Amino acid sequence: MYQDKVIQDYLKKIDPEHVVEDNMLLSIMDRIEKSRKDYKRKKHLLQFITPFAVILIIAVTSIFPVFGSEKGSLVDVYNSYRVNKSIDDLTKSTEMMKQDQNVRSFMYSSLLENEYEIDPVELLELKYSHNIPPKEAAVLLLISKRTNVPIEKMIAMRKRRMDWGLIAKRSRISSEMVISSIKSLQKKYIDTPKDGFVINGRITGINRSINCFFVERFPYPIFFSPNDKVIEALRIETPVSVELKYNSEQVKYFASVVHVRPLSPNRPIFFIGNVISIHSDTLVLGLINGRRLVLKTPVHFSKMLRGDEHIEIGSRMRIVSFVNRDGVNCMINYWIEPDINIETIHSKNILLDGEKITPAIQNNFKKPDKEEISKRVIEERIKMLEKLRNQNFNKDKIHSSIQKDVQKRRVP
Amino acid sequence: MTEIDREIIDQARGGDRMAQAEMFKFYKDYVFRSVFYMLKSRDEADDVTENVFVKIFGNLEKFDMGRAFNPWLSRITLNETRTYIKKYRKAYTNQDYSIDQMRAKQGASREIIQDVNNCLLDLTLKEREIITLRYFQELTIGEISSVMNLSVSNTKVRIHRATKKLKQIIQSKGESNVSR
Repeated sequence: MYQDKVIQDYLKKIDPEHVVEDNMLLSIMDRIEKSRKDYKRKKHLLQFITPFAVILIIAVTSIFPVFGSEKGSLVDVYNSYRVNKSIDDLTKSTEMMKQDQNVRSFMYSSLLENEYEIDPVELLELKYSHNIPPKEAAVLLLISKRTNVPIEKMIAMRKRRMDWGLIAKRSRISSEMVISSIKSLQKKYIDTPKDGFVINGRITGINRSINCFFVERFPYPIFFSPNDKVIEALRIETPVSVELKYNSEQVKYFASVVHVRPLSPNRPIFFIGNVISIHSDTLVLGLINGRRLVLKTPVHFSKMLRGDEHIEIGSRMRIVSFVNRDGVNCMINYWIEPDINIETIHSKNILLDGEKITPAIQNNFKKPDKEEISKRVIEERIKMLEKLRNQNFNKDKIHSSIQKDVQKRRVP
Repeated sequence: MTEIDREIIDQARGGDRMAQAEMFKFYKDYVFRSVFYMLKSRDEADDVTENVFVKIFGNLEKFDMGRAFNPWLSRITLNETRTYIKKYRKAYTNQDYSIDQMRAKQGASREIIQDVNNCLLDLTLKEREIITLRYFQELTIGEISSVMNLSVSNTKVRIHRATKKLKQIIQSKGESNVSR
């Protein structure tokens, strides 16, 4: 461009009247050589100083609690890291199981109960009363049982955000022992046969027509072989210990042995009832048998029940609770129960012999809205009738009759 | 400005003193002039030129042979000039410094008085940088934007503004024979 040319010419016209002398190169080379020598000397010096400095730092930090009152010395920090890592490994190994979350947690709590005599209620108490994550709670209980250090003492330290290394030191136990306990729990958990394990609980539902029953908290129906008549002897509420076998071809759990066994009254229990009142830390439920049940609710549940969820008085709820050491019934979880007699399990409908079953199928009861419930009722009933009657029927007629039924049930 | 032979750069990378001397010979005036346009002081331009070559020969092994050499050299020149200004001319870095201010700060040195009529001095440092890169070093817009860490559109705008300002200054100082 013309303008560019003008400026270029102008710049060329500016003469610095100066020539860069060639001996500048010598000075440049001297400077480069000097900086190289400096670098080499510093590197050489650092090679000697660094190991001494590192050793000195390690020695000082190993003796003095330089990382603060919660973390302790370097040794404690390292031990905490190892314990945390083994807890993470334990969590990962439980999460890597192919079973769904409900079965995994069931296997885990059964293992703790059967092998380490850790009552699930104790775990729940630590979780809900002290807000300690389940895996950490299990480790605390495990260490407490093995070392006879009072659990309260360990909880107090943990709640002060003290790290594991320092907890082990203050409890006068070796962190190696803590790690080995966690590793052995992990090993036992991994070694538990995935297609066969024991579950304990009360029977919550029986379907004699298809030879299956439900155990509280276990999310799937448990089947007997077709000719097995043991089911005739089972009753709802019977406490049992069931040895399960998983059949991957039929995608079903089968009961190989069923023992009737006494159960601790503190075990988590399911209740179904209508809400009578909701308070800041309690919920009153009217049970089907006419009894009133007062439940202590954790703060976050109360907030949800009264705020976000806005549970209406009279709503039907399914609640899982346990009785704590003070004899108070504490709510662990809840689901809003649709006011229908159909349960969805693995997308199949199971019609009971006039009985209401209560399997813990949390995922299938994820707060459906009213429209969804009505739609589901219609679809499920048509399918059921089609299957059971196995004869000619007028689909439209049934559809309209169910539609009317649903309209009546709808809450305004 | 044409680039030096790649073979010489390659030899200089390997520590060949002869190649380094050749590179110095080839680029010394180019670097000196670039710095001089920005600093307007021969002594300072000398110092910065020396620093630039120390930097170049010290870091030549880091230079990517797949790329053009001149923009790399320009970036080092620019950075060294800026570092020098930061270090020794703190008073001028944050403002447009005119010849009067320079006189007040540094005393009226011989070369500054000699350059009173130099229109470049009425530009800000950033404007001088961009004028030097564009019209003396003859870098492309893309190269300038990468040397100055600017977007292409921003570079274009800055070049346009600086050029316009310089043209106005040249005209106002009566150097109409140049502008025509």
